[in-house]
Amino acid sequence: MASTTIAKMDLDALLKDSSKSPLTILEYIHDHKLHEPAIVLKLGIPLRKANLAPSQLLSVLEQIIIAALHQKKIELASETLTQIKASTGANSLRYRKLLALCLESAGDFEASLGIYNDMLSDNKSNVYALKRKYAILRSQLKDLEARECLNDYLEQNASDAPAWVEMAKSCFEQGDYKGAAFCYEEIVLSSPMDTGVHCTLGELYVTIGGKDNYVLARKHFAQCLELEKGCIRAMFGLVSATESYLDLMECQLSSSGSGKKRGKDSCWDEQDVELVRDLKAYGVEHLIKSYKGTNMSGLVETILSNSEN
Amino acid sequence: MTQTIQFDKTAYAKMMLHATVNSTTAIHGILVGSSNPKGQEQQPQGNDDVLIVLDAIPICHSIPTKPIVDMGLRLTQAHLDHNKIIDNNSSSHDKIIGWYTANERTGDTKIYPMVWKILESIQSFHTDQEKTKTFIPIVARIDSESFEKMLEKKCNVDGDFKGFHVYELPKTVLAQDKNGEEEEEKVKCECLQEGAAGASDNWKNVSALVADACLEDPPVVVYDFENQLEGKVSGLNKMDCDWLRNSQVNKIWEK
Repeated sequence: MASTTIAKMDLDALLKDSSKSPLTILEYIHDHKLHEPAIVLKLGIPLRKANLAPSQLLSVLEQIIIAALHQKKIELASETLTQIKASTGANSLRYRKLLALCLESAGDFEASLGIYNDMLSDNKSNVYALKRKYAILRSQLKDLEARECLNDYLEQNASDAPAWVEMAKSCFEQGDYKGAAFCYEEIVLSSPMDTGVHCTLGELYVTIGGKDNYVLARKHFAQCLELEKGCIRAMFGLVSATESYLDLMECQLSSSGSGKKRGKDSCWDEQDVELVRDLKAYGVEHLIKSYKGTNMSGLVETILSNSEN
Repeated sequence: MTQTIQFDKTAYAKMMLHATVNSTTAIHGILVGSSNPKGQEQQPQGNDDVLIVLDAIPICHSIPTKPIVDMGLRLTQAHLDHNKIIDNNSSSHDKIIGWYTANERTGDTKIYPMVWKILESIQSFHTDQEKTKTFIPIVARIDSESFEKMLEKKCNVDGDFKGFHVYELPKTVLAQDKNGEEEEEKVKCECLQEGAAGASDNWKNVSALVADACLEDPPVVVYDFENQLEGKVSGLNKMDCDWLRNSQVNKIWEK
């Protein structure tokens, strides 16, 4: 984000500098991946008929189309696309991508899907086509097909963390928390220092439930607190995970009928249970301390002290 | 069993503003209200029951997980209990009566399984507390098409295009889950609670004010529990990030 801000500040300086040509500014916007459709259209439209090198002209025309689509100027995009087609022909991959984008903007998703499917039949590793296809299917609420498409993408691009986040979201919506946890396990491999990921993963394991999952959950919350001591979300999560563990234990022990206590015959290891109690106390203590002096401190103390009883 | 639902304008405004502030993600929150008007003794729930939604407490702007929902519900319940103690005039019947939600995608009208599970837990909590009757919680789903029309001020006095629809927890929710295609039955949501504000409180007038608040630049901000958690320890002291009250919403009615 910081580099984008710096790039935008430099863009402002470039715009004020009258010695810089519009082409230079457009190239700067393209190279730094800035989102400035209004500026692109203002500087680019006059260049459509300019005497530029073919590769430069095609780059400018492509930028104009994308900017026009952002500004919902579909007719302008269509005219510019016709100009590109005259130069490159209809079989050019870049032309087909732009055509598909224009069709998407016009709401003709079937036609655009057709183009992306053609691209995929030529090359099933076409990342761009897979992503656009997924975006269309998801926007059309075709969840099953979207998930299959995303699956195909992830089979070839297993290190794409944002794609795993998308898959996790899809799993969440369907109530498939185990699937979502699997996705977040993949994400945590690439971002082991990300507290948000550990927190979400911990919350997922608590949501799924079960003794082993509560143990996994508390590990992730503990890791989150190790990385960021003031993470309140992790503190709440830790209290929730430890409470759930202890409730499950109490429930199972009382339903076993004989009042069998924890011991070497029980699946509830005494040392582990003591550790869980300590972790819960740690979470409670730190939450109460964090909320001290705020307008919610009384409420937090109330709910946490009730949970201790 | 059919309930009559009435919405207080502040609860309505909070839901719409929560959706506006988090327009690109799903949102979830708690509905607080009463199943019996203030001052009346509790009656067994029957066909003429009125469920009044008095407040909306925003919880999160992402998919709700058990720890967040659990802590949100507990804090809300503690807040209601605290209000009963400090305010002798408040209704002793205010309780958590349901959930509100909005899906991430335009045109997505589904109520996802996790929402029904949350409603079931609210129901079992109240059924345990009030053993003489079965409480039927509700869910208010903010509908993208209706919300868009509300922003265009096309809501009429009957509440068409007010921005959301209300559903009761169906008796056979588990069977419906497995069927895939669910037909959730919308519950008619009647006019806003008549109160001190007087006869001008109808859906058309109130939704117009709420639309103005949503379209202000910047809009009236409504905070949720997740905002407080994201603010971390340093953000806890921000008095305006009071997701339990969001009292800044009341300024809408002063205009």
